[in-house]
Amino acid sequence: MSWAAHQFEIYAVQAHLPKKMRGKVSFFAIFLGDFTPDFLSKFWVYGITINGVRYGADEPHVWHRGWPGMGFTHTLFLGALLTAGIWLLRRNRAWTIGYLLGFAAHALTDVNDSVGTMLLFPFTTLNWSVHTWKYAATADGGKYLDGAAYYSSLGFAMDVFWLLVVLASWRVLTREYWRTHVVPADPYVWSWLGRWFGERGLLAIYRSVFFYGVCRLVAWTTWAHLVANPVIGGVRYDGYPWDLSWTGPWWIPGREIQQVPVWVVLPFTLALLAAVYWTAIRLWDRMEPRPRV
Amino acid sequence: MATPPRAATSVRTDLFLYALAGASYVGASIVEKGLLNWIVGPAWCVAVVAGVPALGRKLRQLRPGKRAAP
Repeated sequence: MSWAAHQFEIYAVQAHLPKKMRGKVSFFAIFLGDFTPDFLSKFWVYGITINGVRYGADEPHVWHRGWPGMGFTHTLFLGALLTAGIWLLRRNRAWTIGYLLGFAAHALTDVNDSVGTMLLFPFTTLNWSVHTWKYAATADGGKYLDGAAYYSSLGFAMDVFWLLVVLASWRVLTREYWRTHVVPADPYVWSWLGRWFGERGLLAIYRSVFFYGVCRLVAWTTWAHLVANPVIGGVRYDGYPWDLSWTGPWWIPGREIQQVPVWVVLPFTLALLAAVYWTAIRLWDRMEPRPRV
Repeated sequence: MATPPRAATSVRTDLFLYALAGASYVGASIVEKGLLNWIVGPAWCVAVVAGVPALGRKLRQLRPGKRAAP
């Protein structure tokens, strides 16, 4: 799974909208779309412990990304269904297209870990994975081991990559951009929030997910490498060992679900990304509100 | 000494507030990683960036010397 990358990609999507959609796609919808897959599935991945008894998935990777399980929450199929539902309910293209792009960003970037996502569900339940780093959520290790493994592997590089993508488009974080591109796409929501917050507060709300991503990246990396003292294979380490090789880190066992050949995954994922943008552009024109006579 | 323009002061204040929010959140969440979640993280940002100036204004209003004469 990706961690702070999911926070940064929201701003990356916002900054790289097709030209005709700039200033017209809902930022909140992009956020909700990106948030939905993990919101629906992740609560049971780590589980909860009450009175020393853990309640959660026995095989978190199967629950999170597999079938049977909640793996369908990370599929473009569910994204398309929910997007259609939003359109039928709201007839609002700013929300519909924003949601689609956010959801697709999440489902497609999660092909990087060793478990991947079921990109062609329901036609096949095979997972698609590039194996860039190991999926590390386990029933025993919980969130700590997962975080330590992710921020010791190329997952860390993935977060930094997405951070750099946003920083390269730094204007997306400015007050001017927020005023001219974000507020006009969601006037009612921002106006409603404006009953409680001044402009500084509203801007903080807009930037808060980016803030959370940066802090998450810094805090987990600091903890994993400067604070934790893990014992791995009977040896005590000062911090979890870095392993920026492909499919790292070496110090946890890999988890996989039956998958398509790895060499197919990257070109196919990029093709799907292009297809999602192409579809969004086509739908955008068709969804244009018709003037009332 | 010339007073900096209001916009520059505002940018500096904003930078200070975000840095304060970031440093305090990272520091607290390294100690208690339960704070690193979707709700607390964004809420911490908004609370510090919007809340600290609002608190400052409240405190200034409460200072006896600053009260308007009856």
